[in-house]
Amino acid sequence: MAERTQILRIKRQQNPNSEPHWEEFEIPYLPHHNVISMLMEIRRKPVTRQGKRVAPVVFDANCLEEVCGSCTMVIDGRVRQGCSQLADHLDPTVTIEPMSKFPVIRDLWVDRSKMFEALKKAHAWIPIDGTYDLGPGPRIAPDVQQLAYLFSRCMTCGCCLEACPQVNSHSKFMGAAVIGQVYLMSQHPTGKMNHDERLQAMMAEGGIEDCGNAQNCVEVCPKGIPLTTAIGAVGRQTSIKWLRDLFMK
Amino acid sequence: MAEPGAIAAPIAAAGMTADERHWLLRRLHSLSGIIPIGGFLFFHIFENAFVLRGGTVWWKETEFTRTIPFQIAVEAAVLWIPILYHAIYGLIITATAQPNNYPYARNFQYTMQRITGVIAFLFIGFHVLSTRAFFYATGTETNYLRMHSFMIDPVYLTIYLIGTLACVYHLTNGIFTFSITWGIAVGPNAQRLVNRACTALFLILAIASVAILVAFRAPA
Ligand code: SF4
Ligand code: SF4
Ligand code: FES
Repeated sequence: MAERTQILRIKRQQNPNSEPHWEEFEIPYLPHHNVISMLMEIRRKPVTRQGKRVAPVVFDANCLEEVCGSCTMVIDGRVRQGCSQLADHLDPTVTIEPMSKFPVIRDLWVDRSKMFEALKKAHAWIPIDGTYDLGPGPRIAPDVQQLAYLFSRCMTCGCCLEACPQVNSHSKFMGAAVIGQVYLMSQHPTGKMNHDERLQAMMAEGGIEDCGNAQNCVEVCPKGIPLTTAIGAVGRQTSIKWLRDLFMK
Repeated sequence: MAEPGAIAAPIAAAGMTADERHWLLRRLHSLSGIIPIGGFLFFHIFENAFVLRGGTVWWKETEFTRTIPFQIAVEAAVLWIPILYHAIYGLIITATAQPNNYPYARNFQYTMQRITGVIAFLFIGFHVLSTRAFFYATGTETNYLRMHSFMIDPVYLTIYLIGTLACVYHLTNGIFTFSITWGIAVGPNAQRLVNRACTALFLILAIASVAILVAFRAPA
């Protein structure tokens, strides 16, 4: 009986400026493989199906348990984490591409720093102590804690940006992840102190108004973060801020 | 620490920033689709539904729409300017889209909203040119006979069916997205409810529109 194998079609790119090209690899089938372990298998023997020896496929990965977000890639046309995508759930031929909404550094490795820039723009952190200890913050009610927990699981993986039709090279939209984080910060009693500043960032170009309500973000988020709830809630917060500023400033 | 007022005052004095303008234009786009344009579409379907009781009743019941004081100013303020703004800015928004094939219902609705928007823009242009603009140019009212002659022409009828259904889809799906944009429907259950209600509204308005267009085919 012929040995069962797995074929990987991989979109490769030498450097950020070179043209992408496709290469096919065939590896022995192993139960419980995931996409990252299959890529590691290629790394062991970087020979294409045509028998050509090539540079090993470059990819980003860290935690290997779907909490760091670095191995996000497009597998069979759908964005997801390579480390949690089991080979047993894939067809014998699998197509792997880097995310299309981020600059490619090399092969499957992309530069997600624009998501970090968005977090900075939206002041998506909570300032704690200054030059002296400000003491413990206020207590948080358990139901607010539970809501906040949902949003705190965001790993800045970029799935929500990749699937969003409003995030692309001809739009400035920052994507849904940062809106989720702005909502998270607005639930925290200390975080509320900078709420107006964050809403200001949300009301700028590239902020919440550029969302087109396609709601792909919430469908593809591997952490099941209720992003569209955040979009509705921050939409309401900006509506109120706008009316308040209009009549009270 | 600086007084908040000391920081806020010069910003306020500087007038509107590019970002503030962006926000206002987007929200005006969202609002204008409902008020007045959406409101007018409801009214337009309602007034024309009188044709289901015959051409004479329809002409009589819609008489007041032809005798509005300051007719041109009212039409411009309530219809032409908002529609032109909504259409042109809508095309600018559409240009920032990159639709994809992720297989979710909302994603399909997102793409449809853009397609129907463009169809509605073309259709409304055609419809206004051949009715109101035609009247202002020639003095000929679009009475029953004129509408009848349009609707018995299969080409016109097809254009009207596609155009009207596109407008109705664009409005009802737009009510849904409006409710998210303004933060009226926030949670998933609320959004599902509004989405269902909007689908029902689409069906009702679609049936009414088709019935109206077909009714114009009856001989005078
Ligand atoms: S919100 Fe979800 S999909 Fe988006 S970056 Fe965070 S974890 Fe990834
Ligand atoms: S709702 Fe749609 S347009 Fe808005 S962020 Fe999510 S995927 Fe993008
Ligand atoms: S390696 Fe961390 S999410 Fe896959």
